[in-house]
This record gives sequence, structure tokens and C-alpha cells, in this order.
Amino acid sequence: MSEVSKIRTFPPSKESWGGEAAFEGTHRKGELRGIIKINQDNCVGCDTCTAFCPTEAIKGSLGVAHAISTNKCVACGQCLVNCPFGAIEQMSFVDEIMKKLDDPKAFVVAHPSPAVRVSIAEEFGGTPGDLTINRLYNAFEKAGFHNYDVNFAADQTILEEGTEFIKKVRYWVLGERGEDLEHVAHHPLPHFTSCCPAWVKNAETFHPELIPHISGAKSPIQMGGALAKTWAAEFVWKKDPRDIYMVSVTPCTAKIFEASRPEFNSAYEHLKAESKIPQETPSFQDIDAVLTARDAAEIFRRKGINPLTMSDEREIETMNVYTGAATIFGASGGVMEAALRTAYFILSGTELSNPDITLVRGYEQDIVEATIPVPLKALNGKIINVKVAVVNGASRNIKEIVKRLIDDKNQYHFVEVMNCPGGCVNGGGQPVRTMGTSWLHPLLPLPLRA
Amino acid sequence: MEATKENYFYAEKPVGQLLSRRDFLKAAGVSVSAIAISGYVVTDIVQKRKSYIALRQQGLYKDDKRLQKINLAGSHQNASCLKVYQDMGTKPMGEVAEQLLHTKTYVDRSNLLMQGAHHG
Repeated sequence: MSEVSKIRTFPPSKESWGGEAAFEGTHRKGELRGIIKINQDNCVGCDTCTAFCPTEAIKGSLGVAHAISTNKCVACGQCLVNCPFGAIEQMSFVDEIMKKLDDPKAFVVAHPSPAVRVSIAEEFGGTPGDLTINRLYNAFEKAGFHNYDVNFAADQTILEEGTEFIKKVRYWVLGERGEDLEHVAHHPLPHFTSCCPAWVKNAETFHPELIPHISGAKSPIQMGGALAKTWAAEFVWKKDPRDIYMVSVTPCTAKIFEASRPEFNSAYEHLKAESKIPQETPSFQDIDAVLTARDAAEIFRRKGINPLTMSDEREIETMNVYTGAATIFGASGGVMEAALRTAYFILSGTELSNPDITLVRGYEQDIVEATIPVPLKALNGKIINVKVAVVNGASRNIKEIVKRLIDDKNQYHFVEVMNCPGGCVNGGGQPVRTMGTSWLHPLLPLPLRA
Repeated sequence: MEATKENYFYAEKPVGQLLSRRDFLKAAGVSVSAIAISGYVVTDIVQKRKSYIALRQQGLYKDDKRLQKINLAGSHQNASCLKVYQDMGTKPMGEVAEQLLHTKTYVDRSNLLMQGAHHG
């Protein structure tokens, strides 16, 4: 296995949040832009990145230094992790978070995503897939963080999104009507997942006709941010929510964008409405800062911590309880499988005899399709066939899935979309495997050698 | 009209003056190998990436198996989640859950994109 490359980063500048205008290009006021940048001096113009971009946002032809169009970019970072020359750079909040860790008043919380626990080892000489759970919690604690596992929030996402999906099935498939189903009347099937921020921005920009189909449930990280500053602040940590500083640790660069979306200050709005914070408190976001897996490794290095040498022992705490359904969110098809496990239980009244729904897992195929028969408890065991699709990577498959839906709107009930092929494990914030130069050898005898 | 057309008459330099047979082969060779290299690089990246994606996915499914064994396969079995609903006095898609865990804001950004293109 090749080694891991160091990816250059840059801190956000004043312009990164935009000016006073309500909209600039495709960005609203306050939304971070320019998260991924091509360094013009290092770009050799090999054109590799354009093959991985899901939105054709990269300009420049072969041999010319490339540039990213801010308006089209969904910040997924696929160009960055696949650049053979390390010429693409990422906006980073490491310096800001290092300062917060030294602030005695701040209650800094690390919120690590599923896919980080199988990749961070690579930054310290481990192999891909090394599972670090307690070692990672212990490393965060040593660095001065408190822990709140995103996987716990992912379970919450399934309970919310699963409930929403079941309501849609009751309204649109079984024809039920009632007060509790009123709002799904505006949200027809197929139901699209909402946890991938690059997919959400892609849909908002290029396929706005799909917006009513996207789940209203927030992504696990955003649910976690809102719950940390309301529920956990009051019932677990017993802290002033204004002192809590939520740091999501993700395999993703698009999460940096997501955290800056202005509507994601629900904890602030809720606490103000409940008069739990003074009315004059300035607004704060649910997630204060985002670290990619690479950034988290950088924090550990600066603090002299190696997660791989940390103890693997730890008591199970309320904030770190999670299920298998949550941990597979990091793999393509995982959100689908997790949702089906719970939806099956609620609809049929019994647990799946085998929770592994391997049919929906995405690895080799671009688009995975499956039909899952679910017996309905409420209708004396009548079986409905739930038709699902998993989009494994946006760059090649979004157009295809949209085309299929134009052909037949009813062919799927539930569609999972992951921007990155393989899912979050291959996210734009993950450790980057160095390409090396071995690939040049077969070409060297050609006239190019001169 | 005829006269105007003539004013704009323009003849390209014959390619032979600029590029000999040898030059042409050089240029063609360089462009073909440049295209071949980038094509080769993309295939190579995709091949290598498949191996580490598979390893990372296996790590997650290993974690899943570990949790399935202690009766934590599905999200409805997470006791901490149930505690959240209890403490907050709500249920999935209940009033408080809607405020904190759902969003109504998806923005149609396509018009904004078009504006940018027109003025560019």
C-alpha cells in the first residue's frame, strides 16, 4: 500500500462567507464558498480531476492550469483526493480549533463520523479499514475534546427519516389520509436521502425539480449539533449551550459548506423561543466548525498524540451509544440498509431475521437496484414490495437516475444518493493515498522521455 | 453585398509552410501520448481506489457485526435515542423533533446560477 500524502490547506478568509448581498452566484449570504481550490502553480493540467467532478465545475483544457467555478462546485473534494500531483487544496479550521482548545471557558466537543474511524489510522501508519473507536475517543479526550459520536445522531436520523418514509408509504402507496399525513402530501415518492451535503447542493443547483422529493430529515451531523446544544447541554453535560463548541470530524469537505447554511441554527432558535438563553444572544450555528479526517490527524500531530497508541479501553457513555445501522452510514448503501432495518421493524412488527441486506450495498456497481418485500402488520401480513435504488457516486450516475425517473416516476420508492463512489469512506476529507510514479514506467520509452 | 464579402476575404497559411512531416508526427505523438497518459492515470486511480474503499467498507461492516452480536442492529434499539425523545417530551416527527431535527429549507439555486451565466 502506498503512503499517505500531506494535503495543503488554507484558512478561511473574510471573503469566504461572502459579502452583504443576500445571494452571490449560487451561494446565500453567510454560506462558505471556495472550500476547494486548485493551486495554479502546482497544477500541471493533466485533466484527471475533471473525470471525477460531479458537476463539471472544473475549467481548463489539457495542459493548462485548471480552476474551479465556485458557483458550480459542490465542495465534495473528489478532485482533491484524486489529483495525482497534490495541486488541490482545502479550507481548514485547524488553527481556530487549536485556539478554542486553549480557551478554558469553551466546552469543545468532537463529533466523529462513521467513516473517520476506519481511515484515521492511515495518517499514523495504519492500514485502510483499521477500526479505531475507543482509541479515537481517548485521543480526542487527551487533546481536550469531549465526545459525542455522530453514529448516535445517525440512529436519530434513521428514526426521523424512517418515520417520514413510512408516512409517505402510507399516503402515497396505501392511500391513507389523515391529519398526521398532511405534510407528506406535498412530498411525493420517490423519497431521496438528505445526508450527503454535496448531493443536496447538486440537486438544489442542477435538479431543483427533485427538491420536494428530498427528505426533510437533517443529516446526522446537523441533528447532532442541534441536540448537543439543547438536549445534551441540559440533560447530560449540564452546560450553558452558549459555551458549547461543536466540532464535527468528517470524511467530507462538503460538510464544511453544510455547517455554514444559515438555517442550521435550530438550537439557537429553539432555546430563544423557550427563553432558555437571553433574547439578545447573537445567533450561533449548530455546528461551529468542521474538521476533515486529515485535519483531525493534524490536530493530533500538533498535540503529539498518536491515536493508534492510545488505550482501547473505555466505558460506554450515553453520548457514544450507537447501533450497527448507524456505523454503516459511511458505506454506500448503508443509509438505505439502516433505514430498511428500522422501517421493516415498524411496518411488520418483527425484526429482520438477518439484518444484513447485502443486496443494497454499493461497491462495484454505479447504481444498485433492489426490491425488498415487507409484510404489513396493519394489513394482516399483506406484502408490499419496496423498490429501492442506491446511487454510488454522483459524477456518472445522477443524470442516469434523473433520466430513469423521467421515464417512470414510480419505479422507486426510496433512493439513496452518495456523491462519492463507495460512500463516505471515499470522501473528499479522507486521508489521500499517494499515487507515486510507478504508473509512468510503461510510458517512459516513448518520445516523451526527452 | 458582393464587395463587402471581398473585404473580409482571408486565406490561411498553408499548413505545409508551418509544419513539416516530421513536425506533424512530433506534435501528433505528443498530443496522443498526453491524452493516453491522462486516460491511463484515471484508470489507474480507479483501480487503486477500489482496493482501499473495499478495506474501509469492510472495517465498517466489522463494526456492524460486533454491534449486531450485542443486539444493536437497528436504530430503534438505541437506548440513548429513546432517552432523547423522553427527556425532550417528543417523538419522531413530533413538534420539538420537527424544530430541531428537520429542515424546511432547500433552496432552488438554479435561477441564481443562470443569472451568473447571463451577466458573465
